Amino acid sequence: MTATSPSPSSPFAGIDRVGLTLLYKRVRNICDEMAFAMMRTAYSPIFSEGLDFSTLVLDRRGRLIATAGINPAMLGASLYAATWIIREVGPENFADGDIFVHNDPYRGGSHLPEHMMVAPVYHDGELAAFVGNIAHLAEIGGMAPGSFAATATDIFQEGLRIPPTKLFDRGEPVQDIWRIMLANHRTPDNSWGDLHAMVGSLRVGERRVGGLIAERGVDGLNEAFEQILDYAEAYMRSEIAGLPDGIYTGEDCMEDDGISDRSYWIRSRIIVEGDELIFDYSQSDEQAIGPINAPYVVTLSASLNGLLYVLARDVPVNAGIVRPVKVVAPAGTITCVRLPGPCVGGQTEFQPRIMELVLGQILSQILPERAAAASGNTSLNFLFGGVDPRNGEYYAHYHFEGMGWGGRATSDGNSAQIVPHANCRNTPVEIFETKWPWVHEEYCLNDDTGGAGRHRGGLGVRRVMQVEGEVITVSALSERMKRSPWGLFGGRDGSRTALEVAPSGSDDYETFQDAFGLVSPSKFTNIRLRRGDRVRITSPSGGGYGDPLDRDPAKVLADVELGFVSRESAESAYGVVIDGGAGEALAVDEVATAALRGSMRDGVA
Amino acid sequence: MNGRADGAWRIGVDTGGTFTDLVAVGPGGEVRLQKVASTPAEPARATFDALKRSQVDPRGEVDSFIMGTTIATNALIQRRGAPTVLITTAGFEDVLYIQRIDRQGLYDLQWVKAEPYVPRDRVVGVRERILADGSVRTPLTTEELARVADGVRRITADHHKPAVAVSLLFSYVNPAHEQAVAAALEDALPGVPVSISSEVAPIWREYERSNTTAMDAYVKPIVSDFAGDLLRELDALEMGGWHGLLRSNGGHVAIPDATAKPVEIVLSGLAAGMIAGAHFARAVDTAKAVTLDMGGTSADVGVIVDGELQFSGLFEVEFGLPLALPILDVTTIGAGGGSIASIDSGGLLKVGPESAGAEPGPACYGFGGEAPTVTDANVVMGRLNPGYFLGGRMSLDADRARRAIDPLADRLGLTPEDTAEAIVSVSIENMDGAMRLVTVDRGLDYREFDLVAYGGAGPLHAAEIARRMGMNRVIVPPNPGLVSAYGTVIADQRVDRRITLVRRLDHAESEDLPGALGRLADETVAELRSQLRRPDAPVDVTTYVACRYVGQNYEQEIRTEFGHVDRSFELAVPIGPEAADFVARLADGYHTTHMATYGYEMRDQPIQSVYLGATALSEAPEVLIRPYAGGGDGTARATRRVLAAAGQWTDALIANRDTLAPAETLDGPAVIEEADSTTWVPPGFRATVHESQCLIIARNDAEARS
Repeated sequence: MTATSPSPSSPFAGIDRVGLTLLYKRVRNICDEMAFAMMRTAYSPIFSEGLDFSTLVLDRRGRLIATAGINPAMLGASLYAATWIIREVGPENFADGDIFVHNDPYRGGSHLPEHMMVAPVYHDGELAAFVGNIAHLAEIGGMAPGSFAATATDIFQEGLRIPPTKLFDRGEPVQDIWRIMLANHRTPDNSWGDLHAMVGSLRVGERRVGGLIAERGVDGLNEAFEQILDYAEAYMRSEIAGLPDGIYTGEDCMEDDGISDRSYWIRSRIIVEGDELIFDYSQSDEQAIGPINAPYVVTLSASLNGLLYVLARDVPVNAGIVRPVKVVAPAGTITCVRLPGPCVGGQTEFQPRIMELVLGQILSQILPERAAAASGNTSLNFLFGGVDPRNGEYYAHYHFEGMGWGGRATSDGNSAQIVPHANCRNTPVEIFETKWPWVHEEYCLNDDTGGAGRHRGGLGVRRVMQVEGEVITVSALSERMKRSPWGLFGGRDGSRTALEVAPSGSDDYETFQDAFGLVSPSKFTNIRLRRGDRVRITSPSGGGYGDPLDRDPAKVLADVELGFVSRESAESAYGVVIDGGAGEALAVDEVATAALRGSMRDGVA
Repeated sequence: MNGRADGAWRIGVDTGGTFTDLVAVGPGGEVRLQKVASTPAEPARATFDALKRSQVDPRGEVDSFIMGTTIATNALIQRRGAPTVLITTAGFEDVLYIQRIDRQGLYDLQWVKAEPYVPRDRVVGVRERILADGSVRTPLTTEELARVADGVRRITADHHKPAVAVSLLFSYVNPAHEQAVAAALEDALPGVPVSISSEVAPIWREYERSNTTAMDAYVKPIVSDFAGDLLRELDALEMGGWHGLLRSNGGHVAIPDATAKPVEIVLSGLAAGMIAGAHFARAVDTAKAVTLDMGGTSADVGVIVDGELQFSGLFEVEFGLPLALPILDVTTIGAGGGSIASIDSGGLLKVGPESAGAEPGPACYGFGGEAPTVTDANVVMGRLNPGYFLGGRMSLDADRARRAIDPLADRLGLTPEDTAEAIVSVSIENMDGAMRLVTVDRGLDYREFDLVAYGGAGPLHAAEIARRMGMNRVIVPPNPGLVSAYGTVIADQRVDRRITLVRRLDHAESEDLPGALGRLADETVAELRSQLRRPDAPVDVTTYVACRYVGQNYEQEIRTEFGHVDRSFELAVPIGPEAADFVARLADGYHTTHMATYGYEMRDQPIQSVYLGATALSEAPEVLIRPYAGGGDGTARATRRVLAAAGQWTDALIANRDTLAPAETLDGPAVIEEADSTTWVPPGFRATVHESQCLIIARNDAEARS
């Protein structure tokens, strides 16, 4: 539709770039339409309030062409959702109207709760494309309600494992499969509704992709898809070429694996060479016994997400972006778990850790003006289930928290924000208490905890809630209890996660670890709480960016006025002396501040 | 319809960011139009300036004077509202800071979360607690009330014209504590306005409800002042008739009443355009249409189903700052004539969301803008006539437009003309995507819809959008650039109310649904009656129940058609005695709706209600407009070289809209020019002048429906 003229300097010579833009936008729009359909019909608040899902359009070879911007944590799995089915089942066994489901991290999945659904799209009997989606089901069986068993030692304890399987055969539901699946989930009604929301979203996608095929033909569309992949590849290459060549190293660790006190180290080397980039994790520790391991797709996802934060935000996220990138993660290390290792926490805890490692490494070493200190960096998974005394029905929920993000080059970190590799929303207290038998006493920011810095780390949150059912069985899988979110360029560390409990009638909170004699403070399963017991969840705050002594005293004053920072911390961490109070307006004591900052600087030097 | 007005002037004003428009319809259908520059510092000044220029005598026969205003919108966007105190349940003081914890862009480390309208040092926690079932867990004591009133007094003492918002947990189930707090504050702080969430937005999700209530308090003093100024000016002019403001729900309300719940006029300006869009859709007998109001910086998209505008329960002022009220369902997208074209780092052409706005504006305005915009592209393509912009009151510089586009053309390896075509194509694709989402999100198939296009830039792009989306016809109302002002002339009076009531339809607890719905309908009608300009005017009430399958988290509204009241008599809702039938029919309605929207239903799955709604409506008298004179002799026609598609220059017919008579047709390529807009008819399309004076544009091969 548009004339093209080859330009020797352009990687796009001969490509109709305008047509390509238009087509890509349309495919993205299809993903968005699929996402809306899913959100509106889902049962679990983690779909509908949390938006913990992704929608995909793929070419006839199963390669990802576009995905809706919902949950980037699923990027790795998106690349394999269809290709694995093609590989294992074979396209000769597909038919129009089929829908496949699978969730196995040993077959391209992220972790068992995330179910991948894929439907082939046919045109006159010819396989033309695929549509797919990935969504986190709130409860899929296994050793603990909420299917997030922090003390699992193999994958079979983590829930029902499903290899590529037909859920619909030529448009008809395969009842045997539905029955097996639902019989293994603790809240089958919920699963049934969520799975139907996924199916409905695929049907929307099929119709819309069908429209594209009708316009362009099967070959025409797939050729255009190929160009979209080439474009994304070229885009990534030109961005990578803009980074200075070199080897950048970094390391961080997972505090423990829920089974022993041992920490597991991730060691990363990033090699930038021309327009290609290698992530090498081969020096990382061997895989853990507990479920903090990552399957390969999670390590891939984390690496790519870290890179996407660094590079341009406009790149079409599809299979093309992977071409100039290699991720080396040897099997048997924590970065690529070997069967039957457990890995449910890899997606929520390992992925953000490795992503920020990548970010911290590249940005602080190459582009400090775009860098940020560490965020709270844990999904703070808290799981619970039981029988609701109000209606006698079994429920289970997968809960996560927002936290503080790190201070960055341009501003303070945001407070109460979802972990950076995901983009889910919280569940409102009013929906929470309507659905589950808890009563909240508090849901607020955790004052005076943000890592001090020229740009302060954002605050985490504190949630206190009381058990209203007779018994609620709780589990947790979290991080950042032993090591704090790091500060950057002289910024201080942020504060840590805490999971505490007070027995009915008492105000004395103890950690779950102390109260129940657990190996790990952050990872445990199946603790039975009784009516009146209270849980206090404290999420971590972000690290600071830059020397706190360089922070504008007016900003410190504003933080004190708003209660984000205490007067004591203003002095001890920022060297800012504040006068007033008790009816008087607060003000910075300039002279005392200059003197204090001077002596603090000398002390440091 | 209630018959026409008595021939007195009906004056409508729309105060936008750039222009203030006035439409006055007088005796014999005489129409007077004015477009003057807005005066944002004193919004009323441009209004009265336009009124003066229109030469309508305020002391003469004036039936009504109704305004759409962006005063509340701008106060929110520009953060110029009142110093506001928020009262929350103790322990939940940070609700406005925590928000929903998600972020706007996936890969943007520098993104900054929206700042709340109420800073933290103005939040007061009150010790009290109500549970999900409405029972009281922690009673609210008189000592606590006194302590809270004290705290609020201390905070407000330092501020000029403060306001207070109260939002306690589960107040949508049991408002007693909020009411007690409000009463205590009114005693302790007479004259300080108090907004309580159980009245402003009695819906669940504490953040959305609290933020909506905070916004209400935040804009209250500014809206009160504005209303006061307006009334004084009108008084000074001795203007007769009814004086109203338009609400976000598309109904107007007497100016003093608008200040009670000012958050309801936040979308006043947008609503005006949409009700006029719906009016013209009805005028050409289309039941399903998408409205597109495209101006300089953005485009507003709405949906009409069964001839009626659709409503939404949520609007975001900016990302993370929701307004949760029944408001006309409008989606604003960053695509307008001023949208800027650029090349992204992958080498692809990108249009918007950055806009050149009115200042500096597109390059061709010659106000110093250098970035290439959609308007510049239309000039280069010959579709916009540089000599007839705003009816010739402003001339466009085609050379500047081309110079702005040249650098992009070089980088794309295209001719400047084809680059211009590409810019328009990408911009159309942006709108296409947004419009698909608007419809699909609501379960509607846009291929069954017509497109009603207006605003300065809408008619220029509408036919291409409709073609790309496979929509039916394009409808261009007369005076597309003044449609919003016209909307205020024809607005109805309307009150919408909504309450959350979660009930399982298969349980006995649902027995109170019909009664609650009846009471809600009564209250809604009573509220409208108290505001009616003609106390004896007939009132129509519609009720609906939002339902979902137990376990789902989003609901769909089911119209309880059997709850309609005969518009001619006293208020009453005839659904009480048939309660059992009511619930059964409601359930059936939900299954059917779910099937129609999402392609499946679950008959064995229990259903629950989430909220109830009622709308009371008093229709405005019909407006008669004298038709254009219509030359119809074709002599005023010319031709111009126009780029119809990339590489395809053709001779297009140029016609002035004033010369077109009903039933006349024009085959594309054609450009129809009028003072406030330009309509592009692509090759293969035909424009027909409808008796309503709308242009109807359809493919030549399409069967004309009329």
